Amino acid sequence: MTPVWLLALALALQAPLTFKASTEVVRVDVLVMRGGRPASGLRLEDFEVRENGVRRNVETLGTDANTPIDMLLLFDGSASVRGARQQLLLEAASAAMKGLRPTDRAGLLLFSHEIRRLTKFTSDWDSVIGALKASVPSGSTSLGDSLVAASLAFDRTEARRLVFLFTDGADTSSFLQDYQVIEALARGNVLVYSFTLDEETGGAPGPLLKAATEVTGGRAVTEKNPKKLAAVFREALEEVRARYLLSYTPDANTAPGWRRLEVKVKGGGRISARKGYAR
Amino acid sequence: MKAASGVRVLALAMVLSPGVLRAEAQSLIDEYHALVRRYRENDREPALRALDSWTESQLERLRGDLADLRGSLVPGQPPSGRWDVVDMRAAVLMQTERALVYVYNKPSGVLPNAPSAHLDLAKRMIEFVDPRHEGWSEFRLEWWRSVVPWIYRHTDREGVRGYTLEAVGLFPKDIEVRLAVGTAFELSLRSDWAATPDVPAEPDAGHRVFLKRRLERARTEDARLALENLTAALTLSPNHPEALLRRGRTYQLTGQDSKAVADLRAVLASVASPHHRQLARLFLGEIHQTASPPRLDEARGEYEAALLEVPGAQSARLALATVLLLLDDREGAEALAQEMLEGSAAPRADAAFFEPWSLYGLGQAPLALRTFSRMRTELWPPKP
Repeated sequence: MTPVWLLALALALQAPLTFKASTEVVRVDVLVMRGGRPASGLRLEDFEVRENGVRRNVETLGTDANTPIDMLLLFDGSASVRGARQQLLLEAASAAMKGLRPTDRAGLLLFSHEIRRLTKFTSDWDSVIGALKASVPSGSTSLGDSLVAASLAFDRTEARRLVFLFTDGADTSSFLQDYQVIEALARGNVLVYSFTLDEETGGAPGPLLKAATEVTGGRAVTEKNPKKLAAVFREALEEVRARYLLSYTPDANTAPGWRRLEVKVKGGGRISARKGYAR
Repeated sequence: MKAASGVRVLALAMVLSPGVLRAEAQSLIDEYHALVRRYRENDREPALRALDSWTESQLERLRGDLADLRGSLVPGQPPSGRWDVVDMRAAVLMQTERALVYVYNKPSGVLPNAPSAHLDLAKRMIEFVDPRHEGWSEFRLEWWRSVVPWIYRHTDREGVRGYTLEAVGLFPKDIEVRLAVGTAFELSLRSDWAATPDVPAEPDAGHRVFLKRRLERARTEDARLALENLTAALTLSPNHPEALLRRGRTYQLTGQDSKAVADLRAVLASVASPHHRQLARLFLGEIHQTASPPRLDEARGEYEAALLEVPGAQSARLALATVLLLLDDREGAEALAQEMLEGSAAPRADAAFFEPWSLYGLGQAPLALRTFSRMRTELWPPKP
C-alpha cells in the first residue's frame, strides 16, 4: 500500500503551483550550474534569499514539473528583418515551440515603430508560426518600448513568464528612455532572454539588452552563425526548464526603491539570478 | 628582361596618360547618362537596379568628372550635346531615391555604396542647372529645406553638419530651412542618446547616468546649433508650433527644464492640432517623470491628457503605464498594455492613427516626400 504522504507528494509535484498575484510576491528565477551543467533535484530548503542583507522566507519553489511556461516571442519586425532573416526567425520560433508542453503557452509580439500582438497566449503553436510567416517586416525599431509592453502582456499568474527577444539592430524609435525601461522591468516578474547575431553586434549585446537581461535574471545570447539560431533557441528553453522559480512575500512596509537580492544554495554552484528588484 | 620591363613602363604610361583617363571618364559619363535616360523614360526599377552595382569610388569619380561640366548647362543649350534640364531632374531624383532606399535598408546592407555618394551627386546635379531656369530656384530651396537634412539625419552625422550649415548660409532668412536644420541637430541629439554606451541594470544608477549625460549633451555643438536655428525660426515666425515644440524638446534633452516647460506650455496655449498637443503633453510628462526627485502624479496627469488628444497612440499609453508601475499600480499598467495590444495584429495604415511620436522622429519626412512627389510629377505628369 502506498503511503499517504507519498501520494500527497506525487500530487503536489504534478499539480501546477499556485503563485499569489504578481503584485504581492517577489519572484526570483534562479539557474544553478555545477560542473558546467544545471543542477537538478534541489529543494526549497536548499535555497537562501536575502533582500538588502535580510533573510527572506522562500515560500514556493517552482520547477519544470510544477510550473508551466508562458513564452512570449518578442521579435523585431522592422524592415531589416526581411528575407533570409525572417526565415531564420521562423525556424528558431518553430524550434522553441517544439520544446513546449501542453500546459505551456506561447504568444507573439512583433515590434517596429509600433508594437503588434500577432497572437495571444495559446497552446496552438501552428497559429503562432502561421502569424509570423504572414507578417511583413517594415518600419523602425522601438526596442525599449516593446520590452515594457512585453513585461505587461502576461495574464496567467501561475506560469513562469518568459520573454524570448530577437532583434538585429539598435533602438531607433522608442519614446521611453533606457533607464525607464529598466525601471519597469525591475518591477516585473518576467525573465528576459535576448538573442542577437554576432554580425550585427560585433560579439556583444547592446547596452539595453545587457541591462534588460541582467535586471530580470535572464541571459543575452549572441550567436556567430545565423544557421544555428534555431539550436540556440532550443538550448535556451532547455536552460529555462532547468531553472528554479523562488517566490516570497516582501514586507508590507518595504520602502520604495531598489532592493538588492542575494541567492545562495546549499552545496554551492554558479548562480544566475536577478540582482535586485524595485518597488 | 629589359624589353619586358619597358613594355610594362609603356603600358603604365598609357594608363596614366590624360587621354586614356579622359576616355575612361567619358565612358563613365556615357554609361551614367544611359541610366538617367532609362530612368527618365520611366524604366525606373531596372535603371535603379543597374545603379546599385556602381561602387562608391565610381560614383565619386563620376562626381568629379561631372564637376568639370559645371555651369555649362543653360536653358536651350545642353552640355555635351546631350544632357538637358529634364535629364538633370531625372538624375537628381534617381540619386535621391537611391539614398532613400539606403536609409531604410542600411542594416541589411542592401546597397553596396553609401548614401552620401548618391546624395552628393544629386546635390551637384542641382548646381549644374542655371539658377535663372524657371522653377529651379524654388525647387532648389525646397531641396535644402527638406531632403538634405532629413536624409543626413539618418545616415551621416558629419554630413549633417556640412550640408545643413551650407543650407543656412544660402537661405539664412528662410524659416523652413532654419526649422529643417534645427530639426536635424535636435534629432541627432536624441539618436546620440539612444546610442548610450552605459545602461546600468539598477534603475537609480540609470537615472543618475541620464541626468549626467543631459548636462554633458548641453555642452555639445549639436545642442548649440539646434537651439540657434530653432530660435532663429521662432524669430522669423513667433509661436511657430513645430519650432516651439522642438526647441522645448531640445531644452529638455539638455537639462534646461524650466525653459522647456515654457515652450511646451506655449504650444498648448496656441495650438489646436492634437498631434502637436500630444507631443507637448508627452514631453511635459517626461520632464516630471525624470525630475530629481520625480513628480509622478504630475507626470501621470500629463500622460493622461496626452492620451485624450490622440487616444490610439502607443507611446502615450506606454509612458502612462511606466508611471503607474512607479506608483505601485501594476494592475492599472497591465490593463493599459492589454488595451493597447487588443486588436493590434494588423498594422495601422490609417494616417489618423499614425503615432505623433513616430512622425516627430521622422523629422522632415513629410516635407521630403512632398518634394519627391513634386519632382516625380515634373518628370512623369499624372495621366489624365
